[in-house]
Amino acid sequence: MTEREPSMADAGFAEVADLAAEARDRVAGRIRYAIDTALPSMAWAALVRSPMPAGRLRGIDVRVASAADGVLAIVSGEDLAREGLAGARFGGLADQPILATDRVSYVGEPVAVVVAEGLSAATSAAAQVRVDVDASVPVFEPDAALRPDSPVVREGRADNVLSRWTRRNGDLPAARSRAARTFRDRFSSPAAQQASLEPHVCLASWGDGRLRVWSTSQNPSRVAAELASLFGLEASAVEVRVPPLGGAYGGKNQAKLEPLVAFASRMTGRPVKLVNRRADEFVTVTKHPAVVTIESGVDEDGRFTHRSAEILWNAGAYALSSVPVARAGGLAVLGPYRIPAAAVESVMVYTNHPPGGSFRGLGVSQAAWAGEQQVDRIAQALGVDPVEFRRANLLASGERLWTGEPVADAHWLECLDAAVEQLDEARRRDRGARPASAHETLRRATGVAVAMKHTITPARSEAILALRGDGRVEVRTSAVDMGQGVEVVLARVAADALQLPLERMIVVRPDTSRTPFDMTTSSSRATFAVGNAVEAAAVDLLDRVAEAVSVSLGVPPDRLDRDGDRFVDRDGGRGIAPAAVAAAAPGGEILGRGTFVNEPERDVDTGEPVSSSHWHQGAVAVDVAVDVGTGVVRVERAAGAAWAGKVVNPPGARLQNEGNVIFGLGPSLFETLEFPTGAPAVSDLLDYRLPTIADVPVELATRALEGPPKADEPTERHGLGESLIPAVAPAIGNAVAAAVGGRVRDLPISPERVLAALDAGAVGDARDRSDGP
Amino acid sequence: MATLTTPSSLAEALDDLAAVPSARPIAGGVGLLLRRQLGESLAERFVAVGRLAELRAIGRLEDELAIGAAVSLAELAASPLVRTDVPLLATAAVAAANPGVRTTATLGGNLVDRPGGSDLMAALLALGARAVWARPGGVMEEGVPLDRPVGDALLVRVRIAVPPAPGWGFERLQTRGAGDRPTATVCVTLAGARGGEAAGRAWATSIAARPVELSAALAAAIAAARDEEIEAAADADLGDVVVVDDPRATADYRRRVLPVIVRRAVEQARRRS
Repeated sequence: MTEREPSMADAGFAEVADLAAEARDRVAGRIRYAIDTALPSMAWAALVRSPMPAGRLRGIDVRVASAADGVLAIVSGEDLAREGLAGARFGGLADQPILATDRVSYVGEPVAVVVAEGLSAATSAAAQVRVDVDASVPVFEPDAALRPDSPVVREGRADNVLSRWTRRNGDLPAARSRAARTFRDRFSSPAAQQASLEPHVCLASWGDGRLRVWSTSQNPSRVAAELASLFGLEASAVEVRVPPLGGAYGGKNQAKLEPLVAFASRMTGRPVKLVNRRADEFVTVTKHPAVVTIESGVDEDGRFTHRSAEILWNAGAYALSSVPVARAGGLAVLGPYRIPAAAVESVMVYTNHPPGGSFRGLGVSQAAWAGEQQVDRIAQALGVDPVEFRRANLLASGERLWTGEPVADAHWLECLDAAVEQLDEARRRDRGARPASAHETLRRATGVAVAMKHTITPARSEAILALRGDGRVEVRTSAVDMGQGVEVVLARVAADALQLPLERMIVVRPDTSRTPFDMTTSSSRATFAVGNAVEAAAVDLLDRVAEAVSVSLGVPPDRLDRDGDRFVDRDGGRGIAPAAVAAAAPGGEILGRGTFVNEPERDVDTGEPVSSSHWHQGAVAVDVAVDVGTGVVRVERAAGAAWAGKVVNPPGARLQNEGNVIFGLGPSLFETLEFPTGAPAVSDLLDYRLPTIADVPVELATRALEGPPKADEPTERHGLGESLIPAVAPAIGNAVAAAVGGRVRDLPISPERVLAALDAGAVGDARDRSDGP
Repeated sequence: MATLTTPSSLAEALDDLAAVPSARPIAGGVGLLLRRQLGESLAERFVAVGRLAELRAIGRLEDELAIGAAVSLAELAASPLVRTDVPLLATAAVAAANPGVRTTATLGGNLVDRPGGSDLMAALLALGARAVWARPGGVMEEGVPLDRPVGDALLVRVRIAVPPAPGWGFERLQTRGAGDRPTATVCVTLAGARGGEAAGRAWATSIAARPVELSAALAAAIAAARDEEIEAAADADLGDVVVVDDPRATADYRRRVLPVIVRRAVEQARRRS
């Protein structure tokens, strides 16, 4: 294998020296994404995928394909075995092989990589590879997969339970007996596609025993560690670089293509690039389908006596993020309410679906769809306004979550009030309502919902700030820009902490050989966690600069004053610019390092750690119009309010909040991904219906709420990537139920389901009238 | 590997099409793009017909409007002749695709590629349009009913008798705001409902593999029936039609809502007639 220097591939990817120019380039479509990476002598890869959802892989016939023009190699499980990698596993539970070796577990599982001189040669040869599978009986639904006679998806396991998260608090039987009314419901969410415009991309190259990877990963540090482990390399021998991403939405969390592309590159001795086609995206990762059974009791005053829920998740064939999804949904399903007694069981189940992974909202959307619709149903049954019911039951700061743990910083009430207030303001502007044509019959109604989501706790982020001889500061982190604006946020945090103009900041993009560890750019944590690491690095950098200036001027640090760009000796008047000191320093730079770990606080009574170092908090209110002839729902106005703590970049915060609502419209109204025989029923963006601009409410108002930081703690800069999303579907569902009288319980809220709810409402929805389903 | 020929006349194009059995005409390329994305096998030869003068014209001759098959949807929607003489067709052209696709997609492609599912097909059938097809060797077939495509022939133009019935209704059911193929499209024309001899046409597309003529609904409309009677008649029109079941909507849903949008299209047509 020969060394091939990245050279041109890095141009424009490595750093952002001019944030304003970068913003203009982004709007004009001039920035280059991961999909634009290229290396000299690069070959292209195309995947051969399993046509069957389950079975023994008898072999693959590559005779025709390997003779095709331009084909360099067809890499398969046999090669893995020869290289001693047949048993190598990666992923959330280290359950995923680099390529299927002896079994296939879902339609679309990679079984071979065709490497060719060009993309079309690779693609057409891949279509000529014949995969021979001795098919076995698949299992697609979690309830079927839990039966004792079900086939076991992951060999070597006793059953199909991937994980089981349970939590109980309080005396549930006693609370049940106190309840004046008890409500039981069942709600479901289907699979969905993250559908970032840029698909998964990976380019890998080996040289001098080092592996260099350009990837669309949201967590380069983890991917680098997994690659090092898989291929038996020192951690420092793997470099993972992440150019700007054309969207991710959780789908690019966890390693996926990187191991097999790295392996194909190693086997061919060439840099190899793989770009998922759109259809590939639909079998690479999905949102976890979930069925939620939820029970709530209320007393005579309309206060919760208890809530309990069981969530059954469909993990698909491999774990990816399934364990944290089950936990996140489990924590959120009962909502941010005062609940004296509670229990949740959240069970993640292996099936022969393509693997479920992170999806913006990480399991909380599926949970809130159930929990927040049931809250409305209870309010309706009690004859109480749903907003007032929530106001009476929502947690305040210092109260305890249903788990029993304290919530130090609760703002759901403010979020709810702000969402409702903005919706009122929007109505007064009176631009939202689409005029009904003369022959349409529209019914209009309002719905609200609140959302709570944890952030990964504990988790670690590191940052390096490097003062250069030219006076500029490099902000080095492994936070990934996927369109959410993290580069601007981190540059602002650094500039503010250093009291320097933003223009002096240079943002260095993730490159594990150059940027320090970060757990992941997900969980809406970068602004908070990486921001705090940057702030800590700024404090350290100022100390290091003071030390260096002190040595340079020969005066103790406590005699130095900062005067603009210079440090001056308070007594002698001599001064020097830190940049000049940096220029003379080893490497021509002075480094400040910062680390942030959000260790969970412990409950003073129990000593137990809290589930999340803080909670993402939001509320959404919508006005909908339902065409009762066709069941088509239009969201005419939407308002959202999310707790931000402290807003770093106001335009970016607004875009995140608006993006939350718009993104949330899709799974609420349109998006569903079914796998009737294991293969996706839809695998293109013509039939997979994302929301369009014509679906966005004319009135869309959002607010990022700010408040003072808590004493003795780092500034609370909350991320805003997911604070509103989980509330969108239940808010729309609640509005539709109010409009038509019956309730849609399965996502998406399709016109057909709305008509069924209308029919149910016309006779009085039996399930809404009674307490049970 | 597919080849592309660029004939300079209709006669040449027909020869090129005849020379290779699997040859296909190409104009805007929208259908090709979709087929490629869906991984369908492509023709060995494509014959570019999009610039042929014979397929590009929109012209009025006495009581007939002729529209070339390679006229783009954007040109169709913007044409003063079309907007004045057959506003139903201009409306359908705008509804059929987003602005970007409209600049490249053609009338012919829309009709030939999506026989069961085209908004333009529904509009043209309601306008009583006839097609002109050309066979290899230059044989022209005039006045062919639009819902009967002529095997391996090339669609040259459509002809519409003008002025059409003054009353028209266009209803396109889509489940999201834009960018969707229709769940169902209904077009209705009505003339002389008040006095004189009532006449009209009513068709639905995207509801079955072929366009569905709504004779009973039309009769009810002409008879000035009440809303419920029109809906019942539309339901009867579906009869034993095999209704499409696809990711956009189930067959049950389409059956349920078709009568509603038929009634709405009739209401529109009545208001205009």
